[in-house]
Formats: sequence, C-alpha cells, structure tokens
Amino acid sequence: MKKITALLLLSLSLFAVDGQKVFDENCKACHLGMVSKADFMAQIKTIKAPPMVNVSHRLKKTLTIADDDEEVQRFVVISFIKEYLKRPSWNYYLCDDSAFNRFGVMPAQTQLSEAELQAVAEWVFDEFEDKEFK
Amino acid sequence: MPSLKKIIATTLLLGTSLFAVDGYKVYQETCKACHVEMISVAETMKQMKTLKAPPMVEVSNQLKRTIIIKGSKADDEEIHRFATIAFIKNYLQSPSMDYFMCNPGAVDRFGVMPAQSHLNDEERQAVAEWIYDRYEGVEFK
Repeated sequence: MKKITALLLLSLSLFAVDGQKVFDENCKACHLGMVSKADFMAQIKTIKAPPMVNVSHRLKKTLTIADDDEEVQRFVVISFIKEYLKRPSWNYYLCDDSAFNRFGVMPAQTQLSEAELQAVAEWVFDEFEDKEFK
Repeated sequence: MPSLKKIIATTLLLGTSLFAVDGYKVYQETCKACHVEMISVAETMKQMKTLKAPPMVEVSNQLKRTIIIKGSKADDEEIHRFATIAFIKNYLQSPSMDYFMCNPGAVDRFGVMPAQSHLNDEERQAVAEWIYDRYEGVEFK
C-alpha cells in the first residue's frame, strides 16, 4: 500500500507544473528573482522590471485581509497574480509611481496555461516568505 | 442623417454587446438556485431553515469588507475591485474552507460550495464583475 502511495505521489509530481521553471522561462528575463538593494541599484539602468522579491513583498503588503487570515491572504494574492498576468493594466497596478514611470506596464502572459499561472503565482508568494529585499 | 462617427460607435457597441457575456444571466443560471439576490436580514432569519447559501448581497459585502488595500495604494478602488474579482474567479474554480471568507457561523450552517468548473473564463469574469458592481452602495440590513 505504501508503495502504491509513493508511486501515486511520483506520478503526480511528474505531471505537476514547477513554478520555478515557469518563472525561469517566462519572467526571469525581466524580473530578477532574489537580489539585494545594492546590487539592484548597481544595475538599475539596464533592469526592465522590479525584482520578484520586491514584487512578492509589495503584493503581500498591499493586499491585506481584515482579520489577517494567512490562508485567505495567500489565496487572494495568488488570485490577483493569476488575473494580472492575463490582463496587466495601470488601472490596478500595485507598484509605486516611480516604478511605474521607470518600467511601465508589463505585457500580458497569454501563453501560460491555467496550471502554469497557478504554479508561478504560488511560487511568487512562497519563494520569498523568509527573504527580504534589502 | 447620423454622422459616420455615430454609425461606427453604434455598430461597435452593438457588436460588442452581442458577444459579451451577461454577468446577471450567469448569476441567474448558475448561482441563483442557492444564493438569493436581494433580501433583508430579518427575512433571511425567517427563511434560515430553507436557505442553502448566504444571500449574494451579503457575499458581496463580506468580500469587500474582508479585502483591504493598504500601503501607498491604500483604499485604491480599482485595485480593490480587481483583487475582489480575481478572488471570486479563482474561488469558483476551487472553493475550499481553507480560504473561505464567510464567518464561522456561515461555514457551520452552509459548508463549502461546489466548484463551478463548467463556467469558462469569460463567464467567471462576467459574474464576478456583476457580484462586485450589483451591490455598490447596497447594504445587507
């Protein structure tokens, strides 16, 4: 029985979409993943978008829940990311004005499937939980 | 004689509205059997034993109360609307008590709704917009 469970888990992981891989293939060309503020500032002239560590924390600071329920917040942020990737707009842009003036609005990522959107949105939320942009 | 601008504008608008999904229609066909559109708190209490889900007026208000936009974009209405609609769309695909927004009494009473996986992205968008906009300034009381 245990072997069957292990086999099931293995086959699930074979089909599961890897959020890190979606990031590497679709986001990384513009959004650095983890970077220090000093390194970021050194590259600012050639950088095309805010680093993902900054994006992740900004989403969490902006989209909050009345009773601070963490599961609800994670779901709201992931939902926001998924929808934003489909239809980015300055109407509901979360960056501050200086980032907006610097980078503008990103292109829609319409090549991503629902499973890829879900995986990369979860990755953006979870990857930087214990990492700060400083 | 209508101007060319008017003809083009009318044709475009008409054309768009013919293809656009009507959020209210999605609500009527998909949600209404369980979520009452408009009702008072007193009437809800009276009908409590036969109600299958929270009335939509309360759902809409609860969603708006629960999601709060903070920081330099504090209380930005466009972001609040977009985040709420995103939540509704995603929740319809995978409802769960892990991120249920109702109060504990509602969970005990109604449980978690079934996933609405027959709706496509456009229908989910339309009904989520309808849930947000229908109750602007409309309280559950």
